[in-house]
Amino acid sequence: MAETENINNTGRRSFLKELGAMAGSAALLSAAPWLASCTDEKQKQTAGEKARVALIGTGSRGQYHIHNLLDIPNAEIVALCDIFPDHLEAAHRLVPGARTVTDYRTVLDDKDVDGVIIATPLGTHARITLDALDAGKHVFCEKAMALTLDECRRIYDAYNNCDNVLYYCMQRMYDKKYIKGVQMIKEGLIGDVVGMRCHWFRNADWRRPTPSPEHERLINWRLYRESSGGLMTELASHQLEVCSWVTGKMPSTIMGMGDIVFWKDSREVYDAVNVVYKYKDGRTISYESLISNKYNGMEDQILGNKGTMDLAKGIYYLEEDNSKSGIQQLITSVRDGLFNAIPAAGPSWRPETQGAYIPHAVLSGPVHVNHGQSTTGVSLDGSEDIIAAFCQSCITGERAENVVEEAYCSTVLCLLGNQAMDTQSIVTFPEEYKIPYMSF
Amino acid sequence: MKDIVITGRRVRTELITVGVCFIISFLTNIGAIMFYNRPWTEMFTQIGFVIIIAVTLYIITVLLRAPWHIIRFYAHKFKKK
Repeated sequence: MAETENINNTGRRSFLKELGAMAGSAALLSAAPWLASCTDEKQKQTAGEKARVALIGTGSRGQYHIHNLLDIPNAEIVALCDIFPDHLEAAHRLVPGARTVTDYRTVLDDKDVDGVIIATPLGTHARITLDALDAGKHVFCEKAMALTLDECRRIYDAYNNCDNVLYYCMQRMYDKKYIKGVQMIKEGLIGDVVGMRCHWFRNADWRRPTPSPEHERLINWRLYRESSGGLMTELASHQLEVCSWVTGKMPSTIMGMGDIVFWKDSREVYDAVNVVYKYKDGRTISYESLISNKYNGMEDQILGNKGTMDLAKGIYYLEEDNSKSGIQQLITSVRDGLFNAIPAAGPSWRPETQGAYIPHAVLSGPVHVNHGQSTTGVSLDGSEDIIAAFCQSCITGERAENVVEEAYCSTVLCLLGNQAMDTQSIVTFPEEYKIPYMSF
Repeated sequence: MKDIVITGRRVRTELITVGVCFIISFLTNIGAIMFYNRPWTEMFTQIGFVIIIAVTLYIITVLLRAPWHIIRFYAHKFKKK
């Protein structure tokens, strides 16, 4: 059966296999220790076994996960749960053999469910996660961890007081180009990391069609503060997690500005945010997002004194690039000097012109780049792999190292960013939300 | 149509000019290798660039000498008249 599944599902299975092979490298493992739970050897040990999972929340993201799960040989979807009939029906058409329920507690009481996949609005993540952990289920929850700092802390403490597996969908942690890129950064390719610039620009109102006005706050939960942390939790969470992963440290102060600039409908969350996170050593993360202009797309730039790593594109640039010969570098330097010189009778200043940089790929072969415009999910961004890793963990009971801690760090930073924008003040990282994993 | 006579002297001058341009170009490559700390194999692997730079320098010398020769040609013609 395992061989047949291999032939039918080579695309997905081989992808996790690639990560498994990568996890065989000690250097990569030190950069991404969570891969230790899905090495090639461990995958072989669970071949033929299945994790029986239930989806709690079968909207767009839940259905996205269903599509991925259907391609994972180790996964069996046994139940679907949603309070919105249209979503439940759509999901059931994808998995006709699964039971359907409207109360998630029914799923948690079901002995035939090993793990639950939570794809509900952010405002419900904490309650459902805590109940699921309490019921002894393994949990895979969409990002971010929770809507409030207190909820994040409660989840973290509950996780440390149980043996269950818990994953958060921080898929960049399972994206090959990010894993390789971070490994290269940690090995000193771009020198000392001196700053980070992350941004996510889209041009869409984030709205979904609703069958009636009563469903507005349920379907368009992302737009309302009772259920959403806005651009910070929905977008920035991924990028702030990457910054935490790269530096191994946490910022100590946060400041920011946000507002509703363009989409002046009934929404309560900002459609434009600009937040700066400052570390004790002076480095900063500069974060910007707005959803009324997509020119700048999505980038995760790690700036080093010797180069720049653009993790979202899987490309790095070096400040002094030795891939060019000496004579080529001389010609480039003379050309730049000639054409960047201030003319004697021209304006009194000229803007610094960006020198030419040679792009180098982090991975050999074709690289999939997420353009950042989808509001549902894309393929090959690590999502398939992280959920496959969760299924693996459901079978073995083995936790993925640091996944929960990274999600906690990222979510707390998002929520503090919101706090800084709302209070228009410089926020200091609160002591009560520090965990041992954090280093300042 | 008049015959164009290229004297041995002219050929020698141009060959020397080409030689000097090549030497300058070659030495520039050496300098770049030392300055940018590149492997010495670039003395040979980058010969293409050396030739291009030598040709460019030679063309520059032609352009710089051309006005002088044109002026001399017309001055000589005027003097004959």
